Amino acid sequence: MTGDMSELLATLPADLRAAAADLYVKVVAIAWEAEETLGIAFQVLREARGEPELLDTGSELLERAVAAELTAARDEIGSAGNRFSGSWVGGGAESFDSYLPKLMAAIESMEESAGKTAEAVRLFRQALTDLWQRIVERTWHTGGEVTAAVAQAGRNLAVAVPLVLGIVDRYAAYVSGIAAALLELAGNEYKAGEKLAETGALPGVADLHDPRLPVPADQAADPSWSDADREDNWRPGGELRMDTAAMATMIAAFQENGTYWDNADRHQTEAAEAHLTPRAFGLGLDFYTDVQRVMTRDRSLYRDADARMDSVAGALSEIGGLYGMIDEDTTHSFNKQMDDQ
Amino acid sequence: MEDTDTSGDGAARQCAELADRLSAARITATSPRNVARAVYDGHGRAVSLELRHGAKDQHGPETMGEMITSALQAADRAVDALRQHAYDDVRVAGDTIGNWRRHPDDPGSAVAAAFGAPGPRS
Repeated sequence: MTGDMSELLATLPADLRAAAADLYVKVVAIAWEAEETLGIAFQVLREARGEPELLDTGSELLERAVAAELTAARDEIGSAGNRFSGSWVGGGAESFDSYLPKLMAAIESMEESAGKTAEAVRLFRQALTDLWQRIVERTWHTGGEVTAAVAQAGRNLAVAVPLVLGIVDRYAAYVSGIAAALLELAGNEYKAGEKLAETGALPGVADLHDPRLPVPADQAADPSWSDADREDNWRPGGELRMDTAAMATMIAAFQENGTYWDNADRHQTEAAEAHLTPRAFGLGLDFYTDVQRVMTRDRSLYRDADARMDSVAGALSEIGGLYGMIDEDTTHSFNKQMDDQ
Repeated sequence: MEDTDTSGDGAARQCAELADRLSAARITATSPRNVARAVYDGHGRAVSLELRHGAKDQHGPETMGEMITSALQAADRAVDALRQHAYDDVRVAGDTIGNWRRHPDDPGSAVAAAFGAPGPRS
């Protein structure tokens, strides 16, 4: 065995290495001129396999760490929202009450996006593993073909030379065909791609309109509000009350929510940069690009959500501050202020 | 037969035994009216070609040529069938060489089989 081939074989995954070494030894005993062709095929295969372990850890990070942070973010707001529900009556309460379930649903769809991305990566990994098993079997078979050809030639080994060269050529054509087919895997024309494409339809927090909360008199109202908007969302009605402790919990839930989004961002970045790398996907580079596109979008949504949570917390704090000062006179003047806006 | 999923050694031994059996095998094929008889070994090597006594006096050279060709073609087909059958017994990586020769795995279908077809579009 030449030094170059020994080095090349040493770099192959163990399961292929055994089959490839068997094939190589059998081939060069009969047709040494096939060594280069075999070497090229083995190099292509080395690149084709990818790194299934990286795909595993990357998809687990998405599913367990990222999705778990989003679940925690949702649970905290949901829990505070349950306590808060019905404890605030007045301008903006209805708008906020209707905003909360939409926010829950949006966060849930972002969890779903992380889960579907993880599932798509797992499907791709499984497909790559199945394909790899076929390639290893094909390599063993090719060694068997060489053995059969040599046995067929009997004592006259010269007869076996063209047969073995033909076998090696077919093997090399098979390998290059596999490489081309992997490189051409495009869009959602296979299970993993289809699963990944499902993430594109999921709404995120960024798709929600912010809750229309009352704004203190010294802040400008949103110029886009129509009279009907004010009528629908801002009329406090005759009653004005608030459980300020529940409001404080709600505010804290939004203020502290950023930690979960930061963590989701951090875990997702780790998955993208350390695990779901081009090397991990082997020759499935189109799929890698699609996965990265989805992850980049989701990371941006996490950062946006983080900012929105702070914004809602700020608005609620302002309102809470107003309600904290409420007495009968200020209730009247606050309601009037809302009506006048 | 031994299955050689993880090693080529078993397949090599099986192929060597098979080669010996094929060398020892004799396949006889005849032309219509038994004018020509060809005998091959299991590897497809000609062992003998016999003409029926007096045949060349009964048939002209052209008919004789056709009869011989017919016997040789029949022998070729018989050898192919015998070898295919023989390789059905040699197993490598969970499949027989014979089966693999009949159904070689093309790259496109290998990738499609592993990655799967998409489900119905919604």
